[in-house]
Amino acid sequence: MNEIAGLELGLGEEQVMPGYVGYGPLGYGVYYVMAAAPWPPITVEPGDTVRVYIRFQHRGKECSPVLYCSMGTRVLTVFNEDSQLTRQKTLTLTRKDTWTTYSETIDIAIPSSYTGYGWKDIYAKIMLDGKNMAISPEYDDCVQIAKVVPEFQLAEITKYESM
Amino acid sequence: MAKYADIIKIEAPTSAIEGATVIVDVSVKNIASSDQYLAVTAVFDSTSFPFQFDYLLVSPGQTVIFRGWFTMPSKNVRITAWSWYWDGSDWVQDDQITKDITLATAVAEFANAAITKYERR
Repeated sequence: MNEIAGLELGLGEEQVMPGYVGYGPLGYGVYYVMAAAPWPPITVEPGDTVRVYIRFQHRGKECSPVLYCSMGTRVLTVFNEDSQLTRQKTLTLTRKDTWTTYSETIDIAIPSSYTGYGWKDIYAKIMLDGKNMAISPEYDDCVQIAKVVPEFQLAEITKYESM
Repeated sequence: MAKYADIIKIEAPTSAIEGATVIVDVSVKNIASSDQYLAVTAVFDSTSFPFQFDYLLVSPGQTVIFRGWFTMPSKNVRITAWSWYWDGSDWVQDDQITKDITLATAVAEFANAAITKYERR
């Protein structure tokens, strides 16, 4: 029987990003495991929109959490979120006495004027009252923002004639 | 001290959120030397709540569990349960037990966040 009827309380600690503490050439440090996305990377251009599908579970009190998704680049222990590639939306969840799975999407529109080309990492999280409640695994190099450049080839004279 | 219907224990959560179904298990042992019809009644504060069985025929030395339930109100409650035996013409109150249940604050929990797909639109 549950200690608290209606709720199986157990997750007392905030979830953290995947990683571990280890000893390296420069001493102890936190090493983040960069997960390769289980789907092929995609290439987009400024002006395109990336739709991100996010799943999470909730139980307990009704609430209005913020679903947050960001593309950026990880440098060692820091995930540099790109503010132009970060979106969030507020959800409305009813009370659930058991774990309930939700599927949501967030569209990240890449500004037409965007110039931070290259490969982007991506992650999502659920926030409530400013606190991180659940953080997704982070996928490395899953979206490439490509620069659109004019290209030319096969230049040749196809004909000449007297005018 | 019970005569026939000895309440061995009462099992219920120590706390519950408002609106949750609180399940109460009362274990009663027939300490008589013969079969007895035993029953359990109970209240939370002064409100009675139902049990799965009205009564059971219990062999000597046998322990049975009477399961009851109620919806947690918006306050702390005290459960009081009584055991009864049938003397052939009337139900006779025998043993008694109490348990307190505190009102828990409901919290929201989240888990297993994951990106399941991404695509160019």
